[in-house]
Amino acid sequence: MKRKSQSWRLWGSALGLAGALVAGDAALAVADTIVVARPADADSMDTHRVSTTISLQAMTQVYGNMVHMDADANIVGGLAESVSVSEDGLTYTFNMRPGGVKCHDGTVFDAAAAKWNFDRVTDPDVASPNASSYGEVTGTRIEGDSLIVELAAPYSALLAFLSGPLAHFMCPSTIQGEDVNPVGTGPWKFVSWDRNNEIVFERYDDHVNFHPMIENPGAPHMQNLIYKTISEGPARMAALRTGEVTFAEPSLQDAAEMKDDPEYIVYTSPHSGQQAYIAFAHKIPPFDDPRARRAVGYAVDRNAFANIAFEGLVEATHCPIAPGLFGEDQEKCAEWGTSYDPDKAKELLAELGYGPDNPLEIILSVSTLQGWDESHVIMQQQMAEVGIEAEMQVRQFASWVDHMSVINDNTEGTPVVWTMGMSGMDSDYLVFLWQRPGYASGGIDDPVLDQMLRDQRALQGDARRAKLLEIQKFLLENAYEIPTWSPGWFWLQASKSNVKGFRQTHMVTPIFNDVTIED
Amino acid sequence: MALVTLLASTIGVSLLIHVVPGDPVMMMMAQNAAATPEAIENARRALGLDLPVWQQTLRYLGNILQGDFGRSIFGAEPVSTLLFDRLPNTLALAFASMVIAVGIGLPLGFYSAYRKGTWVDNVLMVGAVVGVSIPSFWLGLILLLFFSLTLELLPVASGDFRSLPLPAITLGLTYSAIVARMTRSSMIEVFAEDYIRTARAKGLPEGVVLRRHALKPSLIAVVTIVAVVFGYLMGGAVVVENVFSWNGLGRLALDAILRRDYPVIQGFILIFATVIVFISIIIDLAYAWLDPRISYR
Repeated sequence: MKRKSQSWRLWGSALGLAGALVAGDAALAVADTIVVARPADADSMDTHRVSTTISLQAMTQVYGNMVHMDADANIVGGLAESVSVSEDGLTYTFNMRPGGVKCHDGTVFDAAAAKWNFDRVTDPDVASPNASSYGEVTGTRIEGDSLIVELAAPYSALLAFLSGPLAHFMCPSTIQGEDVNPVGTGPWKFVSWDRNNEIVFERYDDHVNFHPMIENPGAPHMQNLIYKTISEGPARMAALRTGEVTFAEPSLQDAAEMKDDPEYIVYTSPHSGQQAYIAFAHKIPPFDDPRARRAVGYAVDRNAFANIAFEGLVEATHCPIAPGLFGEDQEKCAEWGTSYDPDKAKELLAELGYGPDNPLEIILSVSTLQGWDESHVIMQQQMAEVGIEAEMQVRQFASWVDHMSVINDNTEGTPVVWTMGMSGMDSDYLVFLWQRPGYASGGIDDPVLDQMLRDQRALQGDARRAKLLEIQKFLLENAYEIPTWSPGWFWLQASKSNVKGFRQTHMVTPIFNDVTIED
Repeated sequence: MALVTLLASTIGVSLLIHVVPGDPVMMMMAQNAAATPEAIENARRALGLDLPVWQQTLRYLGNILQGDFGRSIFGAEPVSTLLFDRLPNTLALAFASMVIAVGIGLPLGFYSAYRKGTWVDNVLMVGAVVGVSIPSFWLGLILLLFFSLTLELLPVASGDFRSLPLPAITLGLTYSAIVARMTRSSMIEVFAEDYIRTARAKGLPEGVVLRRHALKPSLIAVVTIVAVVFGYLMGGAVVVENVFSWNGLGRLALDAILRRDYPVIQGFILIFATVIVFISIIIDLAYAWLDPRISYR
């Protein structure tokens, strides 16, 4: 019996040793390395070819921006030291830094490099998904150390866009024929990419920081940065708990538990630029009548979505423009829009001929996502309380967009309420959503709105802010949109509490320059 | 025949993916707040998605004949690179899982058939039913949490060979139950053959009967089982690849399907069909070697 127990102990030791050998180097690797577990891999490191968040979050480590946006949405210098805009808003002059900025391969990012980026991304043959965000560029030219960009029409959102992750500028040596060899001016140098497994970066020792939301003026504190793809949430959390990774995107439930656990830190994204909202197939009666749309607005309680469905990890919001973006004013939006008031909802429905004996039957058309799914159930229940019977139809995102593109053009049929989210660096995304045809054909046929959306592009400063408020007033009073919460997708990160200095800037851009890991 | 199968599957998939709702260009533009209708049309034209489906299919077939699998709609990476980088991983996982599945399932099925109707047979077959019924993602997560989180014996996602054992065990255990059941059925038929009864009647020792007379004929069934299981493992490993972050074709295909990345879906099906056709040819040759009565003219 004794021999048997010794034998078990021997096996145990052997297994333990083998385990230490197998798992050991993973743990050791973390010492001077940040490992980030992500649910999916980047599509490409060619900034002109992709627009997905998961790709942008990788590219932002390698490349730089012409300008940056601070926490108060002011534009400051980046690769370009300063920018001036002509009075007519058609000419942008980017004054590059004297001598340029050194790229990872020793080449220089100067006006010529900036011009190369502008020209390539707007080249119709490249068919960049980001091209139209640059406005109607008619020409670029170099004058001394400056790059001059000419537009066909004023586009006040250009600088905000250029400060965001969709406008990373590459050093031209990145593109070699059909091959992409990432070379930038960012804090991390690209080392290798094992697709769908990991992207490895190392510290760029000569990095000079221009971003006002980053404290560290030079190279990152840590030596290496690894983006690791771990698709399943429970596996990501297991890797975080064992110390195999430094950061992981948690599920809502995990985040809710971790935020009260002193061993972990949960990071949200206050500058996400994300805004979720409820909208309508507004050509189908009764939602062609603002009273019916407002009734839905009064029926739903955005605080319940934020606090119950999202575990308090998002904020209830009232504006079509996301918190922190130019032109947002939650107080005014709350005044113009609807807030939870079931009695008012019933009153409006009664005016339209609906009541307990004649409920309004609708379809709630949604796409699935964590937090959103729970919110949709709450929405359904709250609408039922005022006499709106909603049949929920859930589709995978690609199918949902296709489906809604047809439904939003219909003028008859079952009334449809839908939910959607939008993000950006600038409030100009209202054009994309509401100017005909609009996203998923949801645009509004209204010459007044159309004019206002065009006008705001030609204005700057307070005049533009006033115009954006006018647009929001129009959208909210007519209840074309019921803003609900912000942020709402890919906005959470978690780490152990010995990790310091991490933050997410605009459009959930993860910043690792200031990160340190205490023993 | 093999070429017809490949051609039919390629054309079939090329047509079917366009029937499924979802527009890859809209997915690509989903995060671009300034995408104009003109930009969307330009992207569609650049990707060749503005052409009628039959033209797109013909163009794809023409490119394939020149060895060009096209480029991913998302990121413009060559599809051949995306596929062939992952194919070895999928084959390694399928092979390792098959070894486990056959290594466990075959002896158990054989023994169960030999002891048909006894309590051992009943216990083994109930075990097999349970094994088949356990969802692989659940088993995978349990193994992951136990070996990686509790015991810290294996990394959650190393991306190298250390990540192979757990998904291989997960798939291997699940499919060992299937192998055991299939082996048992075919062995029961072999044991009921006249020549087995004759061998026993001649007074040959049981070991000789099993080894000389039952084993070789049963190998045809075994080879069939191996082929079927390998096919299942090539196509059915998606969930397990996701759980264990195993960088195989399944994850790539799932992602491509969700985003309607047509060239990647088409490339995956072509590679998958080629591997299956290749395995079928090997199996046919193995049949002929095992049973001289089988020949292919």
